[in-house]
Amino acid sequence: MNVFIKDSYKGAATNQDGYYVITDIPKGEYEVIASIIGFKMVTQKVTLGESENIRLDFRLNAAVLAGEEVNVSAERIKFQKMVEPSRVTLGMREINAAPAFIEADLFRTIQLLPGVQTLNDFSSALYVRGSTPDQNLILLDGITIYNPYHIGGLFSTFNTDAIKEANFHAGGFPARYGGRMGAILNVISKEGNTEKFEGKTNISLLSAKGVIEGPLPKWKNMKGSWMLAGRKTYFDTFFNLMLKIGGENEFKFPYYFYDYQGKINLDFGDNHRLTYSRFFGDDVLSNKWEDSGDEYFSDSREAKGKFDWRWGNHTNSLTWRWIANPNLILKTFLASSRFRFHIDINNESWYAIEEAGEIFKSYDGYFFDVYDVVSDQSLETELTWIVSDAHTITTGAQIKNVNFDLGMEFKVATFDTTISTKPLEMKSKTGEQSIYFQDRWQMSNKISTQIGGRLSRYSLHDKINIEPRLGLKYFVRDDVAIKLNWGRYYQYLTIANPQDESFRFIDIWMGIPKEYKAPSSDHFILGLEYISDTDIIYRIEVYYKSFDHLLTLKEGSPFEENDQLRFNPINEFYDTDAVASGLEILIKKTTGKYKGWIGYTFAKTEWYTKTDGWYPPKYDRTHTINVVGDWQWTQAIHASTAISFSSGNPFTPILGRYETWQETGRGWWQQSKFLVGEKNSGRYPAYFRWDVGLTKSFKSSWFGPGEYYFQFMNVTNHINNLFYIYQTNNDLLSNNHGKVQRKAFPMFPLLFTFGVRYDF
Amino acid sequence: MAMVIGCVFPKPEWENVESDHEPTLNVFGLISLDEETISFVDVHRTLTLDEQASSTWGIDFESEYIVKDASVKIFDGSKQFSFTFMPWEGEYEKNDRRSYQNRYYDTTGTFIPKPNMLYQLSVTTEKWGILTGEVVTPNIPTINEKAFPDTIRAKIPYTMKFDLGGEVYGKISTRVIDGYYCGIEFSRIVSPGTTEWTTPPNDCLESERWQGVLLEGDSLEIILRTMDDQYYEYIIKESAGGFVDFLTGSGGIARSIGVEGGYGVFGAIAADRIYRPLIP
Repeated sequence: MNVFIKDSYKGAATNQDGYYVITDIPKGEYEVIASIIGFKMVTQKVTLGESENIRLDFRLNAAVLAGEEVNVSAERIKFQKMVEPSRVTLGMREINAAPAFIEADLFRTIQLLPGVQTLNDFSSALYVRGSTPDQNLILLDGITIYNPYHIGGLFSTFNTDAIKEANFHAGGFPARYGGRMGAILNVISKEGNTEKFEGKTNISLLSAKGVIEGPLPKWKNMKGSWMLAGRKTYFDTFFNLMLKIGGENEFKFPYYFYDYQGKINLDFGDNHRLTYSRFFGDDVLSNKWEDSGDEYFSDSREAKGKFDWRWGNHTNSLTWRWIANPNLILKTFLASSRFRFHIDINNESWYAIEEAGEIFKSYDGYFFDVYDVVSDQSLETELTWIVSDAHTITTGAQIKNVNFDLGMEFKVATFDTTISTKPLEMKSKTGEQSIYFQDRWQMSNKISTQIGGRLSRYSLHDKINIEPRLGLKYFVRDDVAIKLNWGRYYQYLTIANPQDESFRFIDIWMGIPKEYKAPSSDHFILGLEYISDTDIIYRIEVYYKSFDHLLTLKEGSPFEENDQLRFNPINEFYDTDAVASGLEILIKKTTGKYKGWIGYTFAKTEWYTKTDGWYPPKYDRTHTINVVGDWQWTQAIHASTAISFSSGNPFTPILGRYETWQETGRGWWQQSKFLVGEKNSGRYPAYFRWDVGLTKSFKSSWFGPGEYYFQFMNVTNHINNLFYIYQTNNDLLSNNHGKVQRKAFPMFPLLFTFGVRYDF
Repeated sequence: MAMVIGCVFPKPEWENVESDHEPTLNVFGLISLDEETISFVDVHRTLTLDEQASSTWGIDFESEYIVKDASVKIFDGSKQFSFTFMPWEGEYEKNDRRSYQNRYYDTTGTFIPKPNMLYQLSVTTEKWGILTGEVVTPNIPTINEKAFPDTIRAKIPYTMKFDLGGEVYGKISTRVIDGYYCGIEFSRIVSPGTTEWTTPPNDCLESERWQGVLLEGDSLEIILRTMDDQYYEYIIKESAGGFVDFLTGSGGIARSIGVEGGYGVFGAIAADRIYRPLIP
């Protein structure tokens, strides 16, 4: 939120807790305005005496109709104050305004910003300036979320109805953020309404979600608010009902997900606030089976088994904020975050066999477990000293203990024997300790700096890493600024997923093993920003990122252990270097009847491994143009559109056929294979998608105001390649007989969705 | 309150895959110091995408991969041996000699490889160029027969002691002679320097009804094979690696190990084996 004094450029942006300070104001009468995108602007008159400190609290109400909010000067204050480059703040309305697949999604909106690339339509994961999603720090109210997706990335974890705002740093992020080297997404959940109870619900045939909020009872000098939001899919129930109606009752749709989050703020007087925040979400893919009957080798058989796969996040945090005096704020934060996935497959069979008048009983049991549990406990404290309106010093310390438990267990049992083996068991306890310092100083009307650094230590490495962060902003004119930024970033955890997978259901997290160096990245960013008289932001940025010691999984490569050749695909990595560079243009309009942005990205990312040399990773798209528009057509009708046009993703082409020799018990035989070219040296055809959304608001006498919404995805039904399917043409009548052919496996088809939302 | 979802799927068309790949030689040369295995050279080539491989398993059909008119020579430092192509005769021969059909090998009986010796390979063709390679043969390994049990019990683990004959990889494998018994046949790679190994427990399940029946006189063949590093890299490690895609099938960047001028491997093996009676 931005708070500023009317008819002046004096003002401040609030921190994520909503706290702000405006200093050096002479005595007099003023009108102070608070505004944020998507909310009605609020003005308060105030009379200020000589050297007087005044506390002004604002409560903003959501603008029911887009365009009601007035945001002029808000962008200008950000333009003046922010030194760090590559930062975009998205408000609730912007997130909800963009056309969406089934429902609004924070990550899908961020994917339309310059610098952000996507792997495919089925993934909402963020590939930012050459960084992979595991290099992004995703925070919900300051807590790390390790797997911020549902359905393998089709949706993000965050319920947009419960989000206040999201701050996205594509690079060059300040010293208070550490432990990752890609981008930062800091999601702030909504504060509860301090005045009255209210809620919102969104019900469809596939899912239901809602948010309720209200004030806590006031007692003595304590007051506060609460918010609770949740959602659950029930297309499994719906699907199964449809099957039952259709007469089919064997198959059960095995998947659903749910999540809920809550936040409680409790103010003790004016200066102390306790905030408790919690998130819990799970995806469940589960199926059971039972079978009985005769088998060809037994007289009777009974069998039962199950497949149960659960994955999700669970977070809790407690924050104490103390305003020691108006210029000195201490914040202490205790949090836990747990991500786990667990695949449990088992099958048990009982046999009875009659031989020579005797009945022999037999039993087989197979039990298979794969799991990964990441358990993160963090303690942070941060001191902010607002020296003056132009000068803020922030310092803090963070202690983070992360336990990783990654394993695989296989058990085979009979009546008298049980053999169990753990082909994979990787447990590690890691710790990160860090301190940081950050000094943001507007030295003159022309120059602002943000200088800081971070010292971090990783418990498995006997070394302290230094992470300098330097930012400089030079105002060429009042409305034109040049930004320069350099920073070094270390990361102490990685994922052990194959780098080329098209679908990723879960991330397999692990701490950087002791024998590998910590990956690091340097960011260099140069930007030019201009803000027009109508507060349209024009931004051009060029960047260069270098990466050292990235870990990429050796897929299927064998290694030796205890004199045996094993084919464990998890704990062997290539030491990988990478470079990413690019140019980005953003033109963003946040006010008025027409809002939105146009983003262009030129990006080039290359990885290097000893086996493949330099190659572009699978997510690399050279050119990307995104146009996001938001149009308040009438008071009741609102239209939105998103157009995305980009170069195709890389793939490894097929060049010919060859054979490899394999040893068998009886000799050596050949296996025919496709001969492939250099890794990712081919490109799919250009990607194009045009989405359109239409919303019509209405007033319901039962619930309150509501909206119908219509969404069209990929309206031109353009074929965007997810991958190629290959065949050898066997049609004897075809001119192409014997030739190798390929066909695109498309991403999203033309999709149409319709739904209703209610407020109450 | 309701949501209707509709979708229209696009219909992608098949298109020919274009490539400017020029076929090149792809060779597997093996120098064998195992008396039960003949040294041979497979001379194959790669195919363009317009050419069909007539079979995926080599010799059951006439394969377009095979190059029949190559000049194949092995040089041991003092003498050169010419290997001759043995064509596919359309039927299996005794002693499973089909393993040597469509391959080049010494038909004179004069090529008798020796351990720890450098061998050079030369393959010359008119259409597909020249390929050369080098390999040093491993020493012949030895199984310590005295330390080996006189009889193998099918369900009881046993320990074997051996000498790999140098810093090379070994492979231990077993085979029931003219029979089958569940859980007794296996193969295991052993690292350089290994001198002793105990077999794993027989984990054959009760439900495996086809366990076979051991008859008096059944015996188990225990083979200890050593290999040079080139053979290990290509044959042993490659069999687990490479490019496997559930949509495109298997593929990869063809490798050249111990050869130049094309793809493939020039490797060497040696072996020792013993036989023991097998009882339940």
